[in-house]
Amino acid sequence: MRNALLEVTDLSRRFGGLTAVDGLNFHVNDGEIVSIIGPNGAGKTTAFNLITCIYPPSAGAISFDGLNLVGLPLHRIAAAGIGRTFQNLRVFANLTARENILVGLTRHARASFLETLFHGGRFRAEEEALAAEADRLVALLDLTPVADQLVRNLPYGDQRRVEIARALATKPKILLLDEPAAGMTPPEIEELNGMIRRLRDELGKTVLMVEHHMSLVMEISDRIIVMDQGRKIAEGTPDEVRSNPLVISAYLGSGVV
Amino acid sequence: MDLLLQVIANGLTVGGTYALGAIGVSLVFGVLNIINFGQGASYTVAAYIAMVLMVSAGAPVVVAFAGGIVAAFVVGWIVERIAVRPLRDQPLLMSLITTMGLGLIIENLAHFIFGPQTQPLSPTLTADVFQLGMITVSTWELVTLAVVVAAIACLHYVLHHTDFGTAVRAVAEDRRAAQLLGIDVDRLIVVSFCIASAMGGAAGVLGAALYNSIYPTMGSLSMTKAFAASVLGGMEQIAGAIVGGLLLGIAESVTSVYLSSAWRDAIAFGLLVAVLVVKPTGLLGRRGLDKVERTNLSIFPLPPVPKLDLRQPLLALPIAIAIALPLVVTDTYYLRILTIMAMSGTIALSLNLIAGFAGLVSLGHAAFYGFGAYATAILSTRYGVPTWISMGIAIAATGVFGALFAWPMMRLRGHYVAMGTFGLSGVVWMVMLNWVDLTRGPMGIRAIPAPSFFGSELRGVGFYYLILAILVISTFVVLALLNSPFGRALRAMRDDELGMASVGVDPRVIKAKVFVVSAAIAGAAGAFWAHYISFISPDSFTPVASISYLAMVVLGGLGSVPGAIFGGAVLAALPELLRFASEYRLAIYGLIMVLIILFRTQGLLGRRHDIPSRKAPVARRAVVKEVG
Repeated sequence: MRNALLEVTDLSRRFGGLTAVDGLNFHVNDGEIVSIIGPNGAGKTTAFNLITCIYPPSAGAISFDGLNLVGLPLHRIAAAGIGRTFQNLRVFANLTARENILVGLTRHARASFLETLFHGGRFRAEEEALAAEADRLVALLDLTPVADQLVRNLPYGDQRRVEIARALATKPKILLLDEPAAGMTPPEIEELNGMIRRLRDELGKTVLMVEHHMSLVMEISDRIIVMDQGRKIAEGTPDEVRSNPLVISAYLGSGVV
Repeated sequence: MDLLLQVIANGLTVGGTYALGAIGVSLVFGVLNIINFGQGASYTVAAYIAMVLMVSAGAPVVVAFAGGIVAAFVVGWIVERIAVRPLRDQPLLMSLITTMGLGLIIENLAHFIFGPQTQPLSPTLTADVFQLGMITVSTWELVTLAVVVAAIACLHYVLHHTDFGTAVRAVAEDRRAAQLLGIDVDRLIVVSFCIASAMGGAAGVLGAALYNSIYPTMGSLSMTKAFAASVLGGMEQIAGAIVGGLLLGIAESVTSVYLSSAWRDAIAFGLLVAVLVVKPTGLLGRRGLDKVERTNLSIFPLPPVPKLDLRQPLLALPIAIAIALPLVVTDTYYLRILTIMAMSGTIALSLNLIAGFAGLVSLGHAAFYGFGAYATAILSTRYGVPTWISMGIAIAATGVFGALFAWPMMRLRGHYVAMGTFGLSGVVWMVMLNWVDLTRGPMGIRAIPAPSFFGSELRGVGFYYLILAILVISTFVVLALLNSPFGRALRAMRDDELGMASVGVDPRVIKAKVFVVSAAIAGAAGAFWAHYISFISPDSFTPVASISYLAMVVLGGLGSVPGAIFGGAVLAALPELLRFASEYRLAIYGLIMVLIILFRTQGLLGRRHDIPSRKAPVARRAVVKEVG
């Protein structure tokens, strides 16, 4: 077995009386595409928010690449190697697509305050390097035609890709995608499918995603984790999950797959 | 023991009036999620109307007071219709600016009609004094307590035992859902606003009667106390507002007797800041900040940031003209106006970094400007530090002060930032006023030496070129920063802090840096001012002065660099050129703030938002609500 890149152990989170995530255990190996599925309110997004330190867990451990993530502030996870997108987009609406990506690159900027003030040689060289890197990501996510438009004016599917590009800009080892297909048209989902594969195959990214769109999940995932009421009720390859009676009764119901 | 009881009793009465005002603040905040910065006008109007009714019309006290409260009710209606309702779909912070502007106009109207002086509410107003056990109380204290209790009881009954009250609470929970259920939200909001304003009016007449004195700016001070009381109690809580008001009254009373009466008014400012730093949800608050996050300004795209390149005409032309101007303008008076214009432009430029780019509506800018002025004045007059060096130290020190100032603001958002910075600015002002050993208090610091340049003291034209240099350098610093990763992060933060943190940029670092740079620039303007004018006093650095700087930025357009400089220059020149109107400077500022926000929200040089505005506020939700 390959090394687990991300390992979640006995993770729990309570909100008042509600236990949104309840003793969750799973791992993601380097280079895998893993999906978390489950009915609404199963605790998928909460699990994401716990892993990305948006709020602390009530109990349990999260280790990523040998680093304990519990208690880390949100802005440190990018340095740890985690990039994420959000269920309800959190793009910078009043910046252009390219600028969104450039903000994602901010943490690689090294020029000092004085170099920035005087726009010195190192600053200029660095700005050029960042711009080139942004161009590369623009091309990678097919954003070239809209790169210089304000994100607020872009269609939903483009905004999602801007958010993914922004997350990629931080050079993460793992990419956490929270419902990347939400609001996308079928052709856009088809493109997304190819794109996520490219991320893994060409860029070597590991992908963990929450997704409702079953055909996408089934086609793309190496492994699927099924959650219901805060717990993991099943785990396995798409075929294993598809035929798991627990999953069928809890989530898929009859006739969905 | 007797004294302490007496002190507490006095505090309770005054605290009762604070509680009334705080209830008004909390009611509006609960229903509309905005803070009415025009609330002060209700106090002033109610008190002056009561005075007119009593003194000119000879009305009995009860009628006069009722008349004052009715007038405040009407003020509430006016403020809601003009400054709040038209902005329902705009970022919530916009109504902060318009209510503040309208409040300034109304307060200045009182100034215009009745003069600036303090006068008695009625020369014949008398108070009997009773002995109740160990303490002495006056009629007015008893009346105040009775009215406070009655008003609170009425409000409680209305909110909890009438259909109207149920509807108010429904709107406070979820306005859209209430609308779907058939509640006439518009009517309900205006009525709540009027009730809140009438509460302020009641506080105004009672406060005026307690001291038998009124003056046009009485409302602003009372409003500050209502804010402090309301924040202390947890903003949305009526019960909290009452507790907060009473506690503030007692704290003030105890302070003025046992410590020093000079610091009495500092309590409200200090408390405001302390509560926001330690427990922003207040004593009884439940919900706290999540409801406030929707106050973002991100509905506006920022205008393009000019590139840092001297060859572009937008940068080179104004600089060339400004350098050449003294060749044409030789008259000392006009040269002085040009100097003041450049200085205001510098201050507005620096505030724009915080208000326009970081999206934090700061009402504390006078603190930075004043800090720079006082730092250099104290260093050069008291310690004989050479002027250039003391100015340099003042600029650096103001930058450091900016970081300290920013630290308590880190956790706050939206209206809370406005109140926090307002409070901090008040604290700084109180220190200037009351730390007499250091600042010479209200007397101010005189005979601040002029800097010399190659052996000769700087004079008219020299000062003009000095402030021009400060302005140009500041503009270059601002543009250099905006055209950098820091600048992009700054603009991104205004759109989405969480999104920015998720890519590894700490919003607190960005905020701290922006406050440091902004404070240092404002400090440079302040240091210049001290040496230029050679006399400074706390009057120039009140929280109200902060508001006028905000007006400059709003006029030019939040987030527009040339706009801010332009706005600062124009608003500084206006009262000078309209000599007859200089006394009503604040009313002019208020009018500009209201008109600009209502009719050209993006400011003169800002960028229009080109998509329907309804979507944006909904798209932004608190983290907590994202729970899967």
